[in-house]
Amino acid sequence: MKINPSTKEIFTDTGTFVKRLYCHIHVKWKAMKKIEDGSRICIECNKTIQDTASFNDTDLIKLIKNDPQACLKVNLNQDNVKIIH
Amino acid sequence: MFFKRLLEIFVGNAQSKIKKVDINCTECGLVFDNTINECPDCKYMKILTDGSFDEMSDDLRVISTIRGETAINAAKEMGLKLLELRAEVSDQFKVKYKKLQHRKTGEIITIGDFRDDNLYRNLGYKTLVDWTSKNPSKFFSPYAAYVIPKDIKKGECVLINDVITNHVSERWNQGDVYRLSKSEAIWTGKYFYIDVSSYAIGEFIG
Repeated sequence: MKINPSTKEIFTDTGTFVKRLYCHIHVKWKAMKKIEDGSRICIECNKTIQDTASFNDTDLIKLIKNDPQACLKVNLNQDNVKIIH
Repeated sequence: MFFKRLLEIFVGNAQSKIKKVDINCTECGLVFDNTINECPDCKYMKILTDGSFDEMSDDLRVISTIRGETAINAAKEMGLKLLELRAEVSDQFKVKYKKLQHRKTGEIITIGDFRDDNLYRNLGYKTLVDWTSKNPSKFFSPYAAYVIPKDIKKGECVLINDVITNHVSERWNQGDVYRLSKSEAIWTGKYFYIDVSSYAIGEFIG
């Protein structure tokens, strides 16, 4: 997975655009409610936010294909993330 | 704004080849170099004259930042309340990069992630400039100030789009340290308490 921090766009390792991360609510990950599978629930909108730390490109594409509005959390220091500019 | 600066570092290949030339501003006469897009004095004077002090963003009042003696003196003459702070470049901020060139096509690219090194070597790129760190902080003047709304109340949460003081937004585990340029803040009555976590870039959600 690749992320461009200036545009907040994420791509697969081969450069295919996946989605642009945007949330107007600005709830912090730490403030969200933990659930068993490692994802969290936003306390403001009740949506489930998927932690992408263990995702590979296939997982990512599958998730967005099933639900293009799926919410994701990406941390710059994840081992599976490369930063592009 | 911080990422705009980052982008300038990494995308600015063509720009970096341009020779530094002094430009005389046709409006105020300030001499500035061509690495800056617009005259900084005019930019901050515009903030004072366009009447944008009542701007809101995400239900928060936006605090204007002005930089340079010209704008600060003008603001004082206008009777505006200012919180003056010194804008200092801190050595702790650094962003690394490496420039590569394709052996056959001559294409020049810039990478910022150590893990891309092998990938591009295998794709036929050679090193043009080896790993180097740059401090993206650049303030045209050490004089800066926040314009304080006269009706601001102690404890009010505001949005500052151009933070003057130095705060770490994120430390990437490859050594890069990013400066916080935008933040929510609380007015204490004397200064703004910068809520670093409000706009720190470590995590992206959406």
